[in-house]
Amino acid sequence: MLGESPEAGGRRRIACLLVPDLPLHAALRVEPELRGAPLAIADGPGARARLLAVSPEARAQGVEAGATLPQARASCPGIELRVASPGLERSARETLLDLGLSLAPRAELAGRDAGPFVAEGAVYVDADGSAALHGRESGFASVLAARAERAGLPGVVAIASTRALARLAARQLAYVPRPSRPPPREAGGASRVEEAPQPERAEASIRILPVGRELEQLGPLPIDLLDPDDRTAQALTRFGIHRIRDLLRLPRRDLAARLGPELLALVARARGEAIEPPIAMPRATQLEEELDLEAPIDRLEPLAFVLRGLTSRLVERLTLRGLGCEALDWTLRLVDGRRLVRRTGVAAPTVDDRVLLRLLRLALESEPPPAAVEGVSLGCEGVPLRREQLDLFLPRGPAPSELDRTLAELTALCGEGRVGRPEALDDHRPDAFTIGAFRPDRSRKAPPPPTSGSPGRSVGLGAPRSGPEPARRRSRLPRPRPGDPAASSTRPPASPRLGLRALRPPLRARVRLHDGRPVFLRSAVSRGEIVAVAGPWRTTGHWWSESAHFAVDQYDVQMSDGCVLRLCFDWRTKRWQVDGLYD
Amino acid sequence: MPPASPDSPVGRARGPVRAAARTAGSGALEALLVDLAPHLQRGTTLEARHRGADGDRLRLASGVPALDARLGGGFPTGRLCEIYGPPSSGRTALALSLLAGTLARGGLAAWIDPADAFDPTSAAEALGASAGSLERLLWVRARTEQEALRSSERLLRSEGFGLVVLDCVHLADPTRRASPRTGFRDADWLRLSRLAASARTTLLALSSTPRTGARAELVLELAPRGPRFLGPPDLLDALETTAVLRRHRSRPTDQAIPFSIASPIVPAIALPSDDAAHDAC
Repeated sequence: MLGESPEAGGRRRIACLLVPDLPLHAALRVEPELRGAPLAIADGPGARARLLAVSPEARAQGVEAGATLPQARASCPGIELRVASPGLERSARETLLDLGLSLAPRAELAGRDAGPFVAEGAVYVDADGSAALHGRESGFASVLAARAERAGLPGVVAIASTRALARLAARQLAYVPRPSRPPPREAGGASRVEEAPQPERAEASIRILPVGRELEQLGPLPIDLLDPDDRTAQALTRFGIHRIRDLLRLPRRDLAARLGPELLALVARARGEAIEPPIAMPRATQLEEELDLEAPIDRLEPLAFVLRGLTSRLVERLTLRGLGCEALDWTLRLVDGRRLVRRTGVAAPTVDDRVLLRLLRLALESEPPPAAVEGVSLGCEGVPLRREQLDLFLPRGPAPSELDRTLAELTALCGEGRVGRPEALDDHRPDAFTIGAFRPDRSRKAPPPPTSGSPGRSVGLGAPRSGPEPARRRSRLPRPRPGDPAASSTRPPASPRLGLRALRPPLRARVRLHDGRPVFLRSAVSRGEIVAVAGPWRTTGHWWSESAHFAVDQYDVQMSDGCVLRLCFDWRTKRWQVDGLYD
Repeated sequence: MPPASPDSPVGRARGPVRAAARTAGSGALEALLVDLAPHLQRGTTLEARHRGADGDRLRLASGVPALDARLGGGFPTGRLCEIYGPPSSGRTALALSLLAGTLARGGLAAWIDPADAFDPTSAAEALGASAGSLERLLWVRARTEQEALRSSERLLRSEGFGLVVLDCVHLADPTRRASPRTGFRDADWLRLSRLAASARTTLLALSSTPRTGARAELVLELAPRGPRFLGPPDLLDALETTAVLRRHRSRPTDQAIPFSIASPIVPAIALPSDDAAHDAC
């Protein structure tokens, strides 16, 4: 029953994207300048290592996979040899998964094979309904193959009813030389392939197996593509069974009795009868790129160059999945065995590699690694991108990514804690403020009415008095009331209001008193007679804390030279100081 | 609101833009059009409209009617402006007033503060009802003038801030006049003015002496006339000052404009009696 398929009545279609020489292409993603050069990837260092994958240029000079390094050098003296990197290969495999998820909601990585197919990487993609989206299934396969090539992982794509059949067809494309034949005529229209089965595609990198006719087309393939174990392969060869159709013609019960139950699994795979769960929808969106350096790097500039490649590849993968990066998690593996783990936040999810690279550089410059780096890992959690919505009547602000880059550069320039949003604290201590993160809210909503005391300066009248705790000593600035237009308006004051230029730290001063009031001031700011005095305004608080307790008398004084100062007497230190200048 | 002239960009607009102009007022629409200008072709009616008779652009009102009238509506956007004067002449108050206007219309602003003299508490009081929008103010506490210069350049390149205040007042000794040769060079001011023009940001420099030379579009000198006290008990009520336009491309200069800068505290103290009267009614 060669032409019978268990999925004949179903609609399940699975695409297999297969990259035959994954270690080779994983290395070429990092070193693209080696494209076109004879290159081979070995499974380890030393003369006994064997080649996992070779480039077509090296193969043209007689180098084959499985050869040792001396054999490769003997055949091709100018060959470039690289040791397979597990990190690079893992990144390449995850990129295959990203490629699948760029076209379908469900995709899963194929398990890594041993033996002759150890170097291949594959991903299964749910291709159900792809014909409706891409005209025909071949369109879906072509797009998948093209994206893989653009991502530096050229491979073949086959679509069939099961994972095993799709992979078998993909292996045929990748490993079995095809006889040259004129390309078949394309059927017009967007008809579903199931309704108008096409025997083969002309493209060398894609193959569509119509439902119910898979075994008919895969029958002539060599049985090695099923990847049997060594004992089974030897037995089949001994019996003269070289092709899949030869195997499927044999009675199944007798086959198991003569060659063992392992052969039944092989037959089930060839028939597409193996039980395969549906392709799962991956929920993890953690992306990671790794690189093991050939030589340790102890300077920032070469390290930034390495980070540029990692960032670029990470952004490519984020773009494939339509996600953005909100924070970069990066790890530096140092030569002394330590691992430097850092996290660099991004203001808004972005896929701008220049922004990410700039942030990484700033983080590196602010805190360079203490030793040479021999390995770098860069990862991020992919989050949905936020589209900036411009307001019709609000001024256009900087893009979130640009603003974030600006803030990062300013922080690196001026220092941590010196760039941000000014916040006046709900405290009556002189010069009580803090700097918060600058996250501007662009809405033009009214400011919330103060629920607690205004952070303004407390005002007292007349003689100094010792007041209660600061929470009960509110500023007497007008409070907006419900219905008051001033409460809901964000209009600026109609005229300029007096501002204070703070002196940090306050300047020491010498003051001469007459009848308890200052009449002469000597300080670095101003020196001379005091023409007019307003005050004192006594402020005290935090009496329960020895370190935070404050008790000051403040005066507004006009100097003979025209300066208007805020003069302060600290009752705790018994010293005069100039807090600021009215300007 | 009278219908817009057919020759104006508002009059030529159709559909939602025109409806928005009717409902939101031409000021908001003009602000929108200026923001959209980089995306439009040069030489359109939009630019001709905003160029006006004397090449003016959108203005940032200072809150002093006489001064705004003399300046043709306020401080020009996309230009380098300078306010200088001795201590207690009202430089900071005028800058805070411009800041309040920028924040109130929803824009972002930055205060570059190499003297570390910005006082958030008094700024919140001076901004009044706009104090809640301090979250749209970026405070850059540069430690040196070089840091202030680089910070200014970076902020102007980000092209999103409506106002950048560069406080160049030498506050270690405010009475000492800073040497014009120290700090920024003429080439620095030229670069900053070009960046401000391309970013359409008002770059406002505060200083004790004129420092921007010929690079500023507008230079305003403030001369203090002394404080005004109320009492007894004595309260600092206002600073009296005089503004003199020292440089402007298209406006007459050297005319004195007196104005006063009120204290935000004094009216607050008078509030309880108003409340009592209100409650009695």
